[in-house]
Amino acid sequence: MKIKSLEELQKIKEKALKEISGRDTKKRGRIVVGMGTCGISAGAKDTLRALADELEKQSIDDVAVVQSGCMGLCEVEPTVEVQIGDEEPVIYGHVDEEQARRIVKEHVMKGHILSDILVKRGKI
Amino acid sequence: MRTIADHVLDIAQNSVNAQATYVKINFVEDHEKIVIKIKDNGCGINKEELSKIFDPFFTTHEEIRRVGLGLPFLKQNAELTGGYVHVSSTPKIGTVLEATLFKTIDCQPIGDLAGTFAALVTSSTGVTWEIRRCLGKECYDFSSKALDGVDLSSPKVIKMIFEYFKNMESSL
Repeated sequence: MKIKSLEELQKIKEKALKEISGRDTKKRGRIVVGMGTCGISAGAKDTLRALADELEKQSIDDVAVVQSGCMGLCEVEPTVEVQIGDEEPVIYGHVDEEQARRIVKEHVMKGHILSDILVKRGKI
Repeated sequence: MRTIADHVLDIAQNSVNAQATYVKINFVEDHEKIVIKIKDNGCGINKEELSKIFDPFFTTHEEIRRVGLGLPFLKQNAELTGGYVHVSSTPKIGTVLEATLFKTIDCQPIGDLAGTFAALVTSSTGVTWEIRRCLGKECYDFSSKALDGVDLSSPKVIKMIFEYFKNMESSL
């Protein structure tokens, strides 16, 4: 039986710690991905991956990406809540990979709210 | 749920919602079957609730909008293949779920297991995840202890963890 080592993982840790050392780690915003049963069934895992990938591609590391349970909006999953600075949260629905990348490029980077996939403004 | 990986993601999140600080996942696959074991040290389930966990829409977490369909879906899909799901639990000690699915024509595809593990590991900083994944005689082990101190909400870190599991899966 072949057991692989955790060396590669250790490298990830070292790289991540090195990159955040000496830098202000305060986040300017956060993106919440609904990962309840309904979200997972609708493909929220791909949404999460696309958000992280696009943020990294755009060199944005001051926006946290976190997961939550069901937001109570099962009919429009996958759902994503975006909050930048002191602005009120914005909830988007039917966020597939393509829409996730749009959210990063338009909302996070330019502050434009995407009305075609907007579900709700304000806290749930 | 479209894939077995989606089931694992959904079921393992029950452990997080049960305030577990330690979750161990074994996902062992051979040419004939898939055996999944998820063990946690969460709040556990009492006998009365345990008898209802496979009832559709049964949930003890209504206040956090749980749907109550995850376990019934897994049971249904496991039994379709001739397999089963068994859950044992002790209040204040934890819960163990064991599922066996046979690779018949009715078995769902495994799906994106790498993405499932990455999503779980980055879902909560308060949980230590231990994962053992085997395909035939090939295995890899993961412990989130190796990531202590890392910001798991950082997009860069999330992407790296997704890539890590993708590499581990492709090496099997």
